[in-house]
Parts: sequence; C-alpha cells; structure tokens
Amino acid sequence: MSTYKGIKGFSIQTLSSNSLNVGQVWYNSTDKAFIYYSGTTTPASWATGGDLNAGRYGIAGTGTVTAGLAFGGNPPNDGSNASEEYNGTSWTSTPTLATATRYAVGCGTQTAALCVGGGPPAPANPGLKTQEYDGSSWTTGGDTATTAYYRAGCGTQTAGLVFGGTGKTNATEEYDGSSWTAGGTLTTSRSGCAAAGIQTAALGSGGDTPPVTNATEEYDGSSWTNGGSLTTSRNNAGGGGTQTAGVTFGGSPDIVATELYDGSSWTNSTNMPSSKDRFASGGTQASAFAAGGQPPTSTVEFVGPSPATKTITTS
Amino acid sequence: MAKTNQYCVAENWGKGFIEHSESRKIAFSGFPGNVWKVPAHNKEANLWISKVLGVLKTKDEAQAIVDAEVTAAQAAWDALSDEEKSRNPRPADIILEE
Repeated sequence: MSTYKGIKGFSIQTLSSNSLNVGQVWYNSTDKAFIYYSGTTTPASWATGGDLNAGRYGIAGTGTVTAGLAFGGNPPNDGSNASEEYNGTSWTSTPTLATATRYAVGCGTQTAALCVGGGPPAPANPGLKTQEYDGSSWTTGGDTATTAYYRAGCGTQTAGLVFGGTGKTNATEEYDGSSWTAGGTLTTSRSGCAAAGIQTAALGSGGDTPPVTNATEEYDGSSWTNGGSLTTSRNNAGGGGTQTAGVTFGGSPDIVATELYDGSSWTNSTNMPSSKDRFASGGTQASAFAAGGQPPTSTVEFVGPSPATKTITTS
Repeated sequence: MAKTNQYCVAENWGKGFIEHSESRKIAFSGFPGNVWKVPAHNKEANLWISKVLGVLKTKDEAQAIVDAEVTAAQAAWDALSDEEKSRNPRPADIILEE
C-alpha cells in the first residue's frame, strides 16, 4: 500500500483540530480525515430557520443558534409573557415569563438566562424587573435601579450587564446574580443599541441618540471608551459574539447589512436576506440567529466566514 | 438591455427555505408580500425558484405587491401611539430595481 511519505518523501502532522497554515496537509485525528488548507475563505451566509410559534416584535433573545431563547414582545400592546426555546430547527414554547414585557433585554444562555426591564410602564412596570430562566421556569430576580426599555445587554445570569435605553440614558448597571449596581456611564447616551461580550469586556454599537448612530463603545468592567464606527448607522439591531469578535446585523431603518468587529474596526459581511428589526438575537461571530421582530415570525441564521479547508479523498 | 434581476413570490416556510449553500451562491433580497429578488440568467437562482415553487413576476407586478404591503404597513404605523411612533420609523416606500 502506498503511503503519503512514500509518495511525497515526508510524513505529515497528526492534529486534533484543523491547522490554518496555508498550503499544509495534515491528518485530523478527531474527524479521521486528511485535510488541506489553501488559504481561501468560505464566505459568510444567511439561511432561513424555523418560525416562532407566536410572531412578535420588540422580542428579546439570547443563547445560540442550536440553543436559543426568545421571550416577551409585542403583541399584545401591554407586552407578551410568551417564551420559546430554539434547537436549530424549530421553536418550542416554554413556561411563560412571570411578568409580561416588551423591548426587554436578554442575556445569558438557554438554561441560565436573564430578561431585564422592558415596557410598558403600567400596570406591571416590568421596566425595573429582572426575570431569571433556568431552562424550565422563569422566576424573579433583583430589581434594576433605573427603569427603561430598549436597553442593550450582554453577559451571563450571574454577571450581567445592561446599558442605555429609553430616555436616551447613559446608565449602565451590573448584575451579580441577585442585585444590580451602577457601572460606568456610556460616553453617548442612546437607546436601541446592539450588544456583545461579557460584563468586563462588552461592546455596544449603534442605537438612537437621536439621530440613529454608527458609534461603538467598549466597556472594560468600569468605564466605556469609543471603538470603531459601524459602516451603517442603525437602531434596534441584533448582535452577538465578543468585544474582539463581534457581529451586528439588521435594525432600522430597513437595514440588511451585517458587520463584523475585530476589536478595533467593523467590516461588512454578507447581507441578511431581508431587513429585520426589533428582533431576538444571540450567538457569536461564527454563528448567530435573528428571530421575530419585523417580520414577526421568521428566523434567520448566520454563519460567519471560515477558513475553507478541504477533506482529501481518493476520488 | 438584459435584465439583472428576476422577481418571484414564494412563501418563506422557515428552515430550508434558504440554505447556507444557496446563500453563498445567490444574493437574496426579500421584500414585503413574500416577494424575492434573485439574479436573472443564473442557474442557481433558477434552481432555488423551482425548489420554493416561486411564481415569477415582472418587476412591475412585484412592485405592485410590495406597494400594497407597504401602504398597509404605513397605515398601521399611522395608527400607533405617539410613543410607539417615536421609537420606530414609518415604513418607507420601496422601489424595486430593474
């Protein structure tokens, strides 16, 4: 039997994960396959996903494409208590929120999520409320100091972060799993900002100051500083990823543009198939989802650009 | 002049309607009224239209469908409270490309 060394005169590396050295051939012991990397990139793409069971806009979300969560929203005008989980194919209804809300913030994961604030102000005043999801039910958490909706948020259930919101506020609050404390204020007050990252390394982009802005800010756990500006100004967009590998997409007015952040600047990626705003979103720069909003039932899934490795076969 | 785009009406059924492999080959643009714009004279686009049972429309026919949807959305926006209006822009008219 011929061997690679017999043909080429040298053997190749065995790696447990793929290499990104241009021109290298290696054996991937995890996938049990010979792989080649030419240096080309598979472009980003958008595909349609499963529809929400209850179409709504002003809906919050968190999680990933294969373990997503979406909750609250409008209709009804006084807020929805509907909550749904996504498995990458279809949405399934979960137990409802304790308090109906719309334009709330989602943080965390499908099994450890936060729903923070939202509207309307009366009679339940969800703007101050925090609701926690453990994968099976929603319970109440600590109240925020300030009431607002159209906030942005990121982080985890025990290290959450919310900022901005109605009233064009610059307020930031940090959650420790039971109570909220004030953080550093945004440089530019805004509502409808998109968020990414964690409590100590967050990213906020776009929003309505007014006018609708392309400004980006980065948070280090204590203060906000300016980051690279979006190519397309937008409000009520979605976002995900980290402070150094962020993604934002959609938003108003009628935005289809997707942009990727590398820690200093945004670059354009593949457009969404149609515009969407006020939707639930979650995920990373490599894989994200947008559900509901306008239009209210549809889900779209993003796959980011990736190195185009090729599996070597005998054919 | 040869047309650049073609239009069809197809209902987005969700998962599988547009797949990543198709998105990497075709530039999709969706509009109100289930109107979709894809490249004309394009084998991959034609295959996708066939897959989704898209009904081809001329640009003018597609424009009429979009206009009707946008007019309805604008009427709905006009009926919103001032607070809601302040948060969301009025749906804009959409002009389809040739």
